[in-house]
Amino acid sequence: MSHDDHTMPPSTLALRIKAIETLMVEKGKIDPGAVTEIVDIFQNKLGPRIGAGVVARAWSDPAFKARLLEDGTQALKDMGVSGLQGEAMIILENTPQVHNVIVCTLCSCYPWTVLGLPPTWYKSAPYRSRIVIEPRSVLAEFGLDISNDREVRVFDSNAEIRYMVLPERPAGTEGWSEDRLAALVTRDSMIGTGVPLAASAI
Amino acid sequence: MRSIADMGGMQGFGPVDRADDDTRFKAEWEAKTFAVNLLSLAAGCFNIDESRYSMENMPPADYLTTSYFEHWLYSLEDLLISKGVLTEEEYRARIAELTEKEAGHAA
Amino acid sequence: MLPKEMVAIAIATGAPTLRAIGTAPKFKVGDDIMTTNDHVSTHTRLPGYARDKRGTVVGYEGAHVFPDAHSAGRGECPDHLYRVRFDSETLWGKGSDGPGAVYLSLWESYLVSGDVS
Repeated sequence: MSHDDHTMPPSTLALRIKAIETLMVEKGKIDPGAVTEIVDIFQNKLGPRIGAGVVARAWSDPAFKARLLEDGTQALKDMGVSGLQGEAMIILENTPQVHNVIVCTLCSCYPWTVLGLPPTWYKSAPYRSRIVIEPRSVLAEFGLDISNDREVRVFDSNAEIRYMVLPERPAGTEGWSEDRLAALVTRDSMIGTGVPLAASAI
Repeated sequence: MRSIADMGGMQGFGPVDRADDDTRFKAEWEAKTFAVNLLSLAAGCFNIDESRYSMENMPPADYLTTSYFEHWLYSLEDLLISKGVLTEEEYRARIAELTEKEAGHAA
Repeated sequence: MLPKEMVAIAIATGAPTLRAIGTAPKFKVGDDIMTTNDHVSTHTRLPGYARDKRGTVVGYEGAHVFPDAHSAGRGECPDHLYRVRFDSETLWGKGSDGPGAVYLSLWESYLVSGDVS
């Protein structure tokens, strides 16, 4: 298709996709019911609460945590977490020495199976361009101040390996149930642009 | 290719707009673009690497000034037509038809 | 055509890119590598900021579908994939904003040995 004349006004975005969808349905390439099903799964079923549950279990169960760090894909499969954009998972543990953060500089790849769809800022030019070269400056914008005695590791998701950060467990949460722990785990803490809520927060 | 999409380390883009925090689809067209893209992949119309390559070939000014799902819509159009799944004529005709219908309802 | 009833299972299965290939990996964990300086005008997943840079192999991911070929109609052409660490100072010199590193997943054809022989 010639894209020389590509200045279509925004109101035609809906018409363009409707044109494609209706043609594809007529040609027997897509099932209209499947369109609805996919939207439902990504709007309502996949999301960061899944990742939060993984983190809470890792905090609670040292054997699970070891398996998760050794083979993220299998440990997640054992929990029933698997699939599109999570076929090969690596879990990155934050420690007092290391802070991890994820990005896809080339497009916006993101671990859908544990976090759902990414926030708009993750897909934006400022984040994609700057997090690899000035991570501390970007993290400071998110309210995170990483001291120079810690290393910041940026994982660029340029292949089909997908990452999730395992943040450090907040102090004062000894003996908490997994459900209660999961409530402290924010989406940003699993991307690496945040940390979990403090115990006092809930 | 060292396209506009290859933006790691580029400078001058300014602060991250943290307020732009939506993870849900902002409009129905975004949801449909997402789903139709996945289903076209599943139907073998194109592969994910072709899809990414297509987006990299957006005119740079368009790439920077359109949203993520507009990039997906661009590559969907580009690949479905270049691979002959749809013709440009029938696509434009369908858009014209739908535009008229919509104008008819508005009148 | 993927019918509605099969959508949930298709999403739960995904589209893994791991493949078996007949050659042994050239590099191992701990090896120093250099990324190639062979710029291409077609699709690649080696970002420009990591071209012609020295890194260290920190992991082996198996052989995966090779995007450079797959995007150009040449088939999957799976190749060994490595997790490679690049120190911030290597990538950005004095422009680095603190101790750190960037990690990339790089196919074998993007890499040459970093050994000075």
